[in-house]
Amino acid sequence: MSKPGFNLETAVSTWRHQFKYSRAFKGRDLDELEQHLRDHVAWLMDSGLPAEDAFRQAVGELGAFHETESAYRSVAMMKTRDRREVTHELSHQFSMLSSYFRAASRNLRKNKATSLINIVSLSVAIAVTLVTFLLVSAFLTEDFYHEHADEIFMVHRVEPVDAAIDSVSAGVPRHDDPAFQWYGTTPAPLGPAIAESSPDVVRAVRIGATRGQVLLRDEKLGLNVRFVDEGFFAMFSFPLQAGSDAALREEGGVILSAEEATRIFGAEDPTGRTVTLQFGSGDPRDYTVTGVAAPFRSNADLKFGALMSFAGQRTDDWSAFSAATFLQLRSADAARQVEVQLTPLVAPVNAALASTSMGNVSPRVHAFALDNLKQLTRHRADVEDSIVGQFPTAPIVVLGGLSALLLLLACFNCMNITIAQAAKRLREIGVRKVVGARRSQVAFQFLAENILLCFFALLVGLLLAWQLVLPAFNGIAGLNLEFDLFSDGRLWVFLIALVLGTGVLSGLYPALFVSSFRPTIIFRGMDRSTKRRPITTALQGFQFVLAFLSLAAGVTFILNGHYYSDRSAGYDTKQIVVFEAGSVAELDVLRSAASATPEVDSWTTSQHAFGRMWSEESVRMGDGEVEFKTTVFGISPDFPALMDIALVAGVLPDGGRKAFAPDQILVNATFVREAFPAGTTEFDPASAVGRTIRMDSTDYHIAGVVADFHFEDFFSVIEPSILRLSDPGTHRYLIARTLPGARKAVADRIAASYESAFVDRTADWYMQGDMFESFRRDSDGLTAIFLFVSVLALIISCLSVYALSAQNIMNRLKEVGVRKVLGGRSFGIAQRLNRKIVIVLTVAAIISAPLGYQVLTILLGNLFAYHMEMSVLPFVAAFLVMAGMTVLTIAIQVRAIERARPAEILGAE
Amino acid sequence: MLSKSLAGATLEPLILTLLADGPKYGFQLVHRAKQLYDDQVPWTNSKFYPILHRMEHDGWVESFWQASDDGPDRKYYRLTARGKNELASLQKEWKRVNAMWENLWGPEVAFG
Repeated sequence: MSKPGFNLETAVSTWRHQFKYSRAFKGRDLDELEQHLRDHVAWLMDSGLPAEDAFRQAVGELGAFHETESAYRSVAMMKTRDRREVTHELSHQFSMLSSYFRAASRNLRKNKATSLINIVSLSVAIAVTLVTFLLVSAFLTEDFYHEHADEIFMVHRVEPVDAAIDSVSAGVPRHDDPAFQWYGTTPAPLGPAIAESSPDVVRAVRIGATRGQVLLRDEKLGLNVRFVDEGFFAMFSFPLQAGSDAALREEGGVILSAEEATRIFGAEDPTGRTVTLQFGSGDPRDYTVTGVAAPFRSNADLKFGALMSFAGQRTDDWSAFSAATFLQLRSADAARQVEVQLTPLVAPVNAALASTSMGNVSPRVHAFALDNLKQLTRHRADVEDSIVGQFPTAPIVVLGGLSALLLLLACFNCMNITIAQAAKRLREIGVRKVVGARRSQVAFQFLAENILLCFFALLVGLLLAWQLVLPAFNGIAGLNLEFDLFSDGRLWVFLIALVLGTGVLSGLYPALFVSSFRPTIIFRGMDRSTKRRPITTALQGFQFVLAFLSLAAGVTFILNGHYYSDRSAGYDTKQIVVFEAGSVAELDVLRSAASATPEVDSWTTSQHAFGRMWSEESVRMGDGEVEFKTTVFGISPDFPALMDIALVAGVLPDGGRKAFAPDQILVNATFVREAFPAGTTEFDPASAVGRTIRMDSTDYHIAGVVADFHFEDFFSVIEPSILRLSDPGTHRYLIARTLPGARKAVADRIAASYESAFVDRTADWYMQGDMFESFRRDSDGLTAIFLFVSVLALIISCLSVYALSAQNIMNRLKEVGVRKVLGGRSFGIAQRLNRKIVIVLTVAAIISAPLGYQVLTILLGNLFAYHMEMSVLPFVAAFLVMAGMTVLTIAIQVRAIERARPAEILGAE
Repeated sequence: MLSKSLAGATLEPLILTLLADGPKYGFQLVHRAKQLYDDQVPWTNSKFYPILHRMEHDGWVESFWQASDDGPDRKYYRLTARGKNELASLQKEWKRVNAMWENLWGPEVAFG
């Protein structure tokens, strides 16, 4: 029981008051102490003490104010001391670091020439690497920027590879299942059907792709037109920069891309204006521009020249395919479920296909599969007939490899120059070590210098990339890459990694090497420290190997580019003009125009045309077991001779004299190789002549085998092809061979006759060689890039040879002086000084030639379906360039030695 | 009464051991420690706290505040991973010392 008048709360508060102004107590220290007091009082009261006594005893055991305060103060001081030590340590480290960087920048300034060489070579390599990074990152993140990208899926048609075998698959086969083939095209009614029946589908958008022509007053422009459903802009993030998407809701309207709008209308506002478009040989029509899409981002793949409403397309026919169907799902997780919901739609497609003539070639749909928008480019190689762009593996691998080579080359250059320069700084290292620097400190100083150098190189490299390399690259490759330092986090990570990576790679070995010198040896004499070590020679050798390889690779890819400009298509592309007719009447007009044109050497008609139109059909061999797909061209008997297609075996359907029966066909060499592989150890085209194949339930006999021909571009692999006589009633193309140099005149004259017969139409014609033009442009672009990179590699190599041998002279000045005094001739001295470099260079050439030959042969084979035969030319060229460089360097040295005065050199020594 | 130096040397392992079986607040620790020392410690209760704070600063223990049913919040202490390692090595040292005395003086003296 407590005495009357005692209040525990007042007592505690009075006790606490005495500590209030002490600085020894921090934060809630007093709260903790007060709680202890209260706990103790409660415990004592529980054991029977009155409150006042309990309080007095607890306070007594807790200790007097000064004792408590001093105990707390000692801990508070200890904490403060620790904090101070940390701050002190930090400021010490910082001052060390800043002194390293001061020393580094002083050294960079002192050795202006070598610093400049290092910075130039590193920055060039960094600029190229940066552009490669931008290119790879743009392709790897294609279409990632669409707001709903995670929920957008493209529907794929899945068919068994071998229609004869009823393949079984658990679930929907994935794109890499070898028993099944994915196709990008899907039946037009599929999208609306699934959108209506599935609760998981937010919207479906079909895309139909075609090429149209814009008719301007005096020219025609090709236009990449996409027919799309109304929800296109809700699904994909393509902002409009002007107008509205009304064109997708009603026929007669069109939305243009910013690029096409500028091409057609220049700087004027196109909204509300009219464009005249023509599709194939149909009638031209006027369309109103309702909107203009903002310029595409550099990582956009689903691009378009113009958008129009899908409503005008056939939408109820299950055998009519649209180029793509995209579904936006409620959530990405619903994809597998929607694939199951798509299963009932397989039957109507197969039924519709069976009722058309295509039913005989049995394209049986097995399932419909979904693939996320972000995966489309990556899986593109496994998908046929897709509107998704191919991932440009070949250029990216080659460019990536070349920029890695350049970067390595620049790093080794930097490494070798630093080591060669070490001799100049031996005293500095000796003094630093004598006054107590540890090896790690000296090593760190050198490393810091190198990282600083790389940082400067990065700044210059960024500037180079921004002002020179990137615009040049965009121009050459027709791309729209840009770098955005403000919002691209990955770019920053890459840049930091690049500086640290190149800094450490080029600086670590020199730092360890230089820091290993012992002061006693340094001050006794420098002979042992500066002596070349085998590893230093090996590093230089490796640098030369890299230089050789990058030069040889550059020359190889340039030569390969030229190989395409000379490669034959397998037929004449120079004198041929092709006209497309919309009807028999139009073809008649073209025929008579061709007959009436004196510059036409000969002409014929055909159902299909190389580069423009063909059909794909399944073929069975005589025994009916093996079935494979072929490309079929419906031709007239005159066609092979007129196109100048070479006959390998058998006969040509040469017009009247040896006219083919309707069941006789020509096949190409690839067809023979694929169709009759068994039992033949070597290719024997004659063995195929007379064999029977079955196509579209009709038997055909092979009358002749022709040489392989390209009907697409050179990147596409030549497929087994058939040339089959077709009914003249189905012919839609007039193919004219002109007299030399008269191609354009013939085209103009026939077009004029056509246009005077069909007043409101424009003739649709093309030069046969044009189909390779875009390929050649791409290929020339690539060649230009390789040339560009090779020139840069050459510059870096030249700089490094020069810097190394100049450094060599600097290090051996005394020797030069003595030799001159003793009557040595400048040329002889230079020769002697460079003997080692020449030996290293020669050994490097001997090592890298076979290595490069192997690597480049494998690369070419893997990257290009058709490529030049690897030759020794690139290596001879690389060797000549490097040898020329060495001779030039020695010549410069001879001059320097001639001007050197022995008295001055030896006096200074 | 234990000498200051001996008490000082034993206090840290003692606190770590007490915390090994779960978090405890100040009075619990101080009260239990004094019981174990048989009230033969040369300090007042408030001296325990700066020692706890130093152990917290060294990372052996960590603290957290928790509301109590009968008054203001209580500050609890618990062992960190570092504290556990420290306890293990202190245990080894003390066992070695104990074995030494046992060897010299015999078990009855050491525990007598």
